[in-house]
Amino acid sequence: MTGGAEEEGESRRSNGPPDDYTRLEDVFPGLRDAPALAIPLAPIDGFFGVSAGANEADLDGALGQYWALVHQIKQVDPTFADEELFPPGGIDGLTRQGRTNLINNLRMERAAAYYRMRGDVGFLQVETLRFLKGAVDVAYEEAVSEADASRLQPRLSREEAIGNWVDFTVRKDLKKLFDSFGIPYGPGEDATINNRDYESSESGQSYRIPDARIGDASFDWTLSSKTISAPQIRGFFRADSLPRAVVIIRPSELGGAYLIPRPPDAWLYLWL
Amino acid sequence: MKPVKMTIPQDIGELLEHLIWMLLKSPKFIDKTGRFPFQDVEYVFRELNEGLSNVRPTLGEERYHQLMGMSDRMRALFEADPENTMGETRKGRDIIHEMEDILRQARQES
Repeated sequence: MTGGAEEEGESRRSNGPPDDYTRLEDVFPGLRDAPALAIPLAPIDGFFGVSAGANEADLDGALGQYWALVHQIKQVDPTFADEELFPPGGIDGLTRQGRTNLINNLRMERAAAYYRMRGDVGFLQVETLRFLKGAVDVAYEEAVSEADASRLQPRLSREEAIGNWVDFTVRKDLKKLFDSFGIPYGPGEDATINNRDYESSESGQSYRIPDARIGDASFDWTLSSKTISAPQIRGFFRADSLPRAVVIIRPSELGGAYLIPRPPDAWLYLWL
Repeated sequence: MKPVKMTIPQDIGELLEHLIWMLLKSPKFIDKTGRFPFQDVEYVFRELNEGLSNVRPTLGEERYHQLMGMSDRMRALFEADPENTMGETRKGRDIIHEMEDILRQARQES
């Protein structure tokens, strides 16, 4: 366990959402004692919702979060230069959205620092989920708007064309995010985007391509609802990387994000 | 402000991916996620042109200069029609398709 998670343990309220989200277990509390039934888990109230941004909107809250995050990052990376992030006019000169973006950027800086300096993927899993939720919603809204204006590929069905748009633009956005924060990704890394995840068996080697994988969690952004009965999802779990969870991110309008915990291994081969 | 590491295409496949993304996001390339406030026409075309520079040996000099010229023309068209109301954006997107064809041909020949 890393320093960041230990430090914030004292400040947790006994009820309600945690003060900070440092692990997937904080976002999906059911994952702590997942009964290995692969039942989809919903995110905790407040992680994505309006209340998640309430503190950022409040000036004192934003300042408090800013300095707490900077402190945490510097504990891991003493060379971190927060002066470059602090806006010239101070936080009080920012709009509500500007404060939210500033705090989100710092959270990502923290995730990148823990990943690069300590090989800790916990923060990166959480912040990637936070980013993907927003990116998927934006991409879906854009794609629907384009479809309504008949500007998508005419050879595809409306749903396919929207799905392709979301899939492609979110993938590109995630690469941009990781590049801009200096997070290494790709084949052989602990973070992958649209790369093969191999499964070795007695009969040889096969692979699946999750939209992204960060350590022991695979991420799939999609329009459709998926469960453990989907061959694709069982394939993700069978990979040599042994994911403990597959996180599904759907547009909020279609149901939003949820997590599928790893089922017993026997389940992964039941439908073969 | 902190310098941002760009996502520069490293091969023809990544260049094609970048062009498709440009097709979807043109003419203004505005980011609506709030995470990439630095993203604008200048930034996106720098990514494209540096990507073309990365694959210059594969393209050959003639094709490289042809594609750079097309990139410049496309940028001028997008900047002339930022609201996509005058038809110039459509012409810029047609150039993207032409660039895709040239890149695919170069990939086949390499």
